[in-house]
Amino acid sequence: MKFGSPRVLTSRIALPSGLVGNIPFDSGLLQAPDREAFAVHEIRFTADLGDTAYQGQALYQPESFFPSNYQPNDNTDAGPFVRVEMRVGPYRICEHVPMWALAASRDFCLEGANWRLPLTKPLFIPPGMGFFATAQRPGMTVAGVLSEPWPFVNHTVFVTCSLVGRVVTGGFPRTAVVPYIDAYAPAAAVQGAAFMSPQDTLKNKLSAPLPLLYGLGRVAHLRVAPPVALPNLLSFSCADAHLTMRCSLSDNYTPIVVADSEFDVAFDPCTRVLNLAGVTLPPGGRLVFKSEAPVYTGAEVAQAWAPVVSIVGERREAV
Amino acid sequence: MPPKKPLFTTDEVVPNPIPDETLRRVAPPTPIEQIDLQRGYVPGEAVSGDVREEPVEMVEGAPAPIIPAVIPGGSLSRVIEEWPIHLTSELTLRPGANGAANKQALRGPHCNWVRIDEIKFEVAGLAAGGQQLDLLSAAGSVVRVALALGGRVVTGGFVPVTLFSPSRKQAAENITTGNTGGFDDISEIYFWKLAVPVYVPPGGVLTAVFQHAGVWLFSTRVRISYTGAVLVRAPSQADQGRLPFASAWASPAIALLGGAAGVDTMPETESTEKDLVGPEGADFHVTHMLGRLYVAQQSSVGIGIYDNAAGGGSRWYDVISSAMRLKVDSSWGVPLTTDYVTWWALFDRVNRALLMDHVIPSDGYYVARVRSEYLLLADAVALPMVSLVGWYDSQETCEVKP
Repeated sequence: MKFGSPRVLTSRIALPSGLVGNIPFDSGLLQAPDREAFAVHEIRFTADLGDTAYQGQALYQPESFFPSNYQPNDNTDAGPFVRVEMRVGPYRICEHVPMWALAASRDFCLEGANWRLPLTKPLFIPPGMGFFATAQRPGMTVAGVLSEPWPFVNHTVFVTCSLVGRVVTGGFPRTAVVPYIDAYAPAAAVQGAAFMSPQDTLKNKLSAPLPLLYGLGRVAHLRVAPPVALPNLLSFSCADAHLTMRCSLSDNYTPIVVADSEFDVAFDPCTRVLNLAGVTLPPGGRLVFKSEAPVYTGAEVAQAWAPVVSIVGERREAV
Repeated sequence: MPPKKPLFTTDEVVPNPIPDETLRRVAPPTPIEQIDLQRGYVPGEAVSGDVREEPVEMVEGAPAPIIPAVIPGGSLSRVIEEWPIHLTSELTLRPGANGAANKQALRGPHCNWVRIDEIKFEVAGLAAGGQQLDLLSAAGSVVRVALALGGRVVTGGFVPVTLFSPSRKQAAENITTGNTGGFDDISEIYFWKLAVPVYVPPGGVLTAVFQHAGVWLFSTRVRISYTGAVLVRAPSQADQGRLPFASAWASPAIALLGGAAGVDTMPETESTEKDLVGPEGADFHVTHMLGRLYVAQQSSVGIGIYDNAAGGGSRWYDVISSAMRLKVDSSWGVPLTTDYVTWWALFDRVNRALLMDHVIPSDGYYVARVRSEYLLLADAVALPMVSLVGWYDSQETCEVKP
């Protein structure tokens, strides 16, 4: 491919509070203005609250960074609460996977509500083929209460999708390397429960074998804080928790993460990545993830756990 | 009965299965000698070293001599091609003033080439009595530097020291104390990992002139350091011609008047054709763009400047960056963004960078436009900054002083 100038194509949508369903990004804004061929190097998503969250003198944004101690702020991680579906032309990239399922963590404190999926090879989009994406904001129920990160509650969330790439001016390829992501992101379960991925998750839903690149694993810790201290602010919270949790990951016959492995060791505690290079899933093949939800005896009145485990691979498609 | 033929004879020509090329390659190396770097060395010419054959007389029990660039236990006959060096200089800038770093402190050994791989900056605010300030602030945002090697520019005018390399980890940029809540800065550290090294000729120096932008009313102490290597041989002509380059646009303060009564048009600023440009007359190979967004806030103790993504007290949780909109056009008709986008949609929030290498033609430039939307804050202004960083080929070589 012969690359031209860099371009950043952006579309921004609003996800109102209580939204049921998906909101599509403007696919017209996610293609080069003159409909030239485009090569995507990186896909980015950011979430913010725009001007809807003015609380007294402060505007709070969803993020996991707290400046006073450079530690994760366990109240506002939005990773499991924004899901996206992506497709390029007829080829599916992912189906409503949480942001945590997209890519490795780089700076746990600072990334907050800013996620990026760097591509190993530029994703070639020929003229006339579009990039389509939709987003949704699922809530999770904790102790019978619909839970979101507290800055989200009763506010519209704005999600921005950016395609960082270049116009392709020559050497058009006949095929494109298209990423593929599938995730297991179950509803939150109270402590002591167990998780096991069902048949339609962590699965190669394509009609061709899928070589995998890596897996990702994070666990959301949701809680309802004591309402006495800050009833309007700390009603709900969510954190990407480092856990001493036992898990396993395998295909039908071969263990990849053997039973009773520690979750935080299997998935790197810094990047959350498990190397899956060399694993090829046949059409319809899947991985099975199993874990227990640990028992936690913190001061909060309710706790729940929600793992997000994903597989990331790529395949070559004719364009 | 004929005599039995011996198995091996010397009069038969047996082709050697090993090609001549390989034979040449496996020939024993030419003996190499320990060289004296300081005596009689002329850059670019072959070195005639003296041989240190006699071992050094050692007093029994004395520590072994330290020999630069020789691995402990390695052979002393190894040729030293380069050895690391770290040059540094410090100065204090009063608000709004300029100052040059000490040239002598930044100069390498007088008869050797120096290769600079990385430039580092440490910035600290000073209180009225000269003591180091202890508050959460972004002193680096007010310090700008202009770098040049002889008559060749390395920066396009003054560039904020925070805008050279993508941030590796923001928490690591701030040296903090635990005095008041555990988050106050005493100094900040930024770096520029050069896309191509700067080769400084013997006797030359990469000069650094600093500028205090003046927004912040504290004097600022700046330390600049060059990390690289002293070289035995002169670099190639091509290496001498290439230089790193950075240019930047530091926007004037933008009032946050979104939603204010009587304000119909959002405050907006834009760069000129002389800000986000390459060096004059040369194609500019851009390796990345950087964008940082600061907030200046009036408080009871003066104006504080905060990196917006760092929080900055209790009320700046990335607020400004979600309210700011950015649009970047190019002079060659291909805009980087087709419309105004949010700050972190263009620049990654973790490393503050847009990592897209490309070439800007010699007469090309970007124009960045920034405006604030919907945010009404009476006691604060936004200070957006954007830079282009990369390298160019100056087509010139260094003049070596005899």
